[in-house]
Amino acid sequence: MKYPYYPGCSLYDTAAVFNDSALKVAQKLDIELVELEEWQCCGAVYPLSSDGLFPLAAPLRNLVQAERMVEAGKSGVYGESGEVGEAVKSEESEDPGDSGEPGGSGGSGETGGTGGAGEVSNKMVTLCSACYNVHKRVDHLVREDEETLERINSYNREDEYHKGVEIVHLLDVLRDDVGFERLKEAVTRDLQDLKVGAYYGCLLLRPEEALNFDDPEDPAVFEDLLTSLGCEPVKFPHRAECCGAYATVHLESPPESAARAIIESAVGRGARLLVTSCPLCHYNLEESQQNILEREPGFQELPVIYFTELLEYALGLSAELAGLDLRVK
Amino acid sequence: MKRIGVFVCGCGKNIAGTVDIDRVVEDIKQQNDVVHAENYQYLCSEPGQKIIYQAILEHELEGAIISACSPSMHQETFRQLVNTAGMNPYQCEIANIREQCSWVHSDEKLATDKALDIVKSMVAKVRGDKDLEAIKASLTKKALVIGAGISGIQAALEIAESGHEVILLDRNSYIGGHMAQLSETFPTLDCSQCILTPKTAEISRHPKISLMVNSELEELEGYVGNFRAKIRRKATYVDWEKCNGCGDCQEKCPGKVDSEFERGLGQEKVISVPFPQAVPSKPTIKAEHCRYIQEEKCGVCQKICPRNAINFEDQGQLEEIEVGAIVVATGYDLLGQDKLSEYGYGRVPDVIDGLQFERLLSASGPTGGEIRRPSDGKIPEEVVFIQCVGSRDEEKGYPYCSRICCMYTAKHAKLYKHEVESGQAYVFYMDIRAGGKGYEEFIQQSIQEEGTRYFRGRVSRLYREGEKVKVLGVDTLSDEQIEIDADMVVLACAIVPNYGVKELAQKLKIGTDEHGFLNEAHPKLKPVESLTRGIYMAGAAQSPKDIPDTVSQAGFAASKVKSLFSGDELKHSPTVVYVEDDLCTGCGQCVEACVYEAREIDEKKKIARVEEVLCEGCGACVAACPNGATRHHNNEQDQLLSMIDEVLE
Repeated sequence: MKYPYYPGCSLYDTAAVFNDSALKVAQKLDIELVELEEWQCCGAVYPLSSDGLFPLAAPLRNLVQAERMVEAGKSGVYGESGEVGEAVKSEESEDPGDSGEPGGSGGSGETGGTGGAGEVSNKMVTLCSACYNVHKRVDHLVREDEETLERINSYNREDEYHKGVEIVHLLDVLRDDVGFERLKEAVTRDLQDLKVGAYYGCLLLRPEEALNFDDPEDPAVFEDLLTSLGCEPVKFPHRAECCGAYATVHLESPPESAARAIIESAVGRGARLLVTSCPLCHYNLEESQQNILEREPGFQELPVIYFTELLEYALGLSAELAGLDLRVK
Repeated sequence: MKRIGVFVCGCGKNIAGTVDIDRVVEDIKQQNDVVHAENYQYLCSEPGQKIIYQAILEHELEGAIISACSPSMHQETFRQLVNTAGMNPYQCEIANIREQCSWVHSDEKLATDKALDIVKSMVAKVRGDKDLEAIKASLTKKALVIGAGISGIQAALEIAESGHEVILLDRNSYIGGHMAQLSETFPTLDCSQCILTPKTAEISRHPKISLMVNSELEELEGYVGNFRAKIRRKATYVDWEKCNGCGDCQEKCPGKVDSEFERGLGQEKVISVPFPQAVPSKPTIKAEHCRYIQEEKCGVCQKICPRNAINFEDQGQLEEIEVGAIVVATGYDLLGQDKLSEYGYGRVPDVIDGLQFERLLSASGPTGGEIRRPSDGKIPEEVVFIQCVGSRDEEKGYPYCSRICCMYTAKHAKLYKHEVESGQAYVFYMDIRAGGKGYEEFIQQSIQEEGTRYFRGRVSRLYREGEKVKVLGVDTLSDEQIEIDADMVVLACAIVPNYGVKELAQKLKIGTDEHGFLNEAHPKLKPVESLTRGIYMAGAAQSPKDIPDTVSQAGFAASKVKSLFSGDELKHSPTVVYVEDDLCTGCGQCVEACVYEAREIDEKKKIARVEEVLCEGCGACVAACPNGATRHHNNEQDQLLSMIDEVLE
């Protein structure tokens, strides 16, 4: 099954390893992540921190790109190279409603399960928590309010969005489309006794009514994933706490104290490894730990990796767990 | 030719500030049939009413138009007034020039023109109005009180005291409601059971009160004065007529279940009386846990019962009763754990709610009145109380204040300190709302004498850390982050309507607000009436309230029932619909249009008829009738057309 895939800027730079590992894992599990023809930075969470609608035009344009891919897939115009023909543009105004209905996507995903080369899911896959958050919230916003959609569409002129895609995280695809049972069968390495803390951060879960991803107070999807990989998930109190990554840009101390609380919380519950899906959190947690270590050599460090790196290793797609010497057989 | 008088009210500046009432009077005098017109500052005042009274006599008026506020305010006042002057009350109409004119406009000229149009159209209506007589209906002087908490108990006792029969209904097997679970009550700290039991005892011995516990309303038909209710008595598996309450069955029963009365903190036998002082003091069997009922094993209770009262075949039964009035007193519930995951409620065992803490404080509770935490039975040395859990939280969908939590939390902190002298209580609050007699003083006492530490701020996170419950929060007054290693946390959860109230309200055809609390007919002036005549409400079912307010409201609801029962028959407005038999084809469209179930087809004559007492005169069936057979007294078609003509002229 083909999925429109929005990588986002970080995954082309600091988080390249996140992108690489995710693509390998996806391929192994028959998830064909097809990068959008044209995409741009979604602005991370900045667009949603202001009241103006203009900054929302950028993430909405990405959705339009995904929508074109879906439409092209439907009419069979979509080629191997991901080209989007002119024919699609003329068709896009025809049927915006059908596949765009919330909840309708699951069905269309299934019907396309064994389809031909042109079959494209209407689920746009994201990896970075911030990108996921922004796109899903923008989509939610325009679905809630037709007028807002019209106004943003009016900025974008030729790129009008018709609510034709569903925004998902790779975790959604693994949980709902692949299924953790199937994932379990694909695991080739024994990760027993590896205690892993799943750090959700804030962007993956909140605001609940827009994301509807998991219970923000007691999430489970990461732990379920870890269980299916055969490791031992460590639930720690700070797993959905904000790490303060945004303030890292101009401040040092607040995020460092937030990062410290998260790391100590996870270590205190016995985690030896922390997985995340957020490049911002990844950067902040790593950087903060290095800073703390410089001053306090005795500080107990906790390696932080992307969840896809652990998946890659578990599925036997990498020789070792990037940068870690965990000596797991 | 009808002699019509028009009276225009200034309503202080409410109307006169926008509408030129002098011009209205001058212009309306030019209308045919209007033999008298005048205005006055306040027509509803005594001098104002006198003016109308005298004008009717002096000018021999046959119809009157009062141009004033909405008919829902004073129509009744003026109709009774004209009646005393010898005019048929239904010849008096209200022209609403306040809510529908002066209040919503600012341009004096345009508003005055509109006011004139409104008055003219009412003149046209009065020309066609006929003399009508109120419809009389019979009255069953017996009341049904739904819910036997303190609210229902109070209402039942007061109605019964005035000599009328009362049926007191509760779905639990005991009466007393949540008040029976409380330890001591604020602000005087009387023991809840001590002030409740005299009332429950009185209920059980009162000759005018019949108690139906373990029962729920299944269906309601009829109308004020003549309700017919179907009551489902659920199976108890014990014949309460035979049972003498000896308690042998409870002692010997081998099965145990979590006690609902103890809110899961304690256990009870599968056959049991829920608590020692329960009224009635008769046991019930929890069928889903009974080994005999499930697997036909055991049966100990049946074997040892000296009165042979155990009946495993009990199916419950459906009873039909007739009553004239209903008081709904279904009370409240606390917001459940599914909505409160951020406070660890349901996940962290030492996080409990306010009612659970009441049970820990209660001498007859699961710990015998010693405060011991649920996880390991230790006496907690540090207890954190969190107020406004769910309440005043728009995000959660409960934006309202639950009203009693500030007080009961102060009480909890105080009682905790009395029990655990070395202990420390902390309270996180948003503001303290202590508006009641002796309430603020009570809070101050808790702070000053018991050393309770109050933090104005919210708790950001709460989780289990070893044996402790880590509570992270903020004190916004000192601007400090607060971190407490608590032994136990007590949540003051939002007060929500009791479960099932929505469905009950539908059966009763009364309204609920967006949160599920019962809607009163008017928030200030009709606080216990529902929009359905003859159905009243009391207590927390209407909105969160404490015991003193609940008792007052219950008394008021009871007095409403008593005044309804004071006459021998009921009067109903005659401005209802009627059928021109010759025009009716019996198509039944009126029956479908009627939401009051006042229309039906006469199967013998094959035409539609009207149950006048049920008709509210809404006119929906008149509009639905394809051949004009359904008509409306004093809202006849020619009246309506001439009214429209006047407005459009």
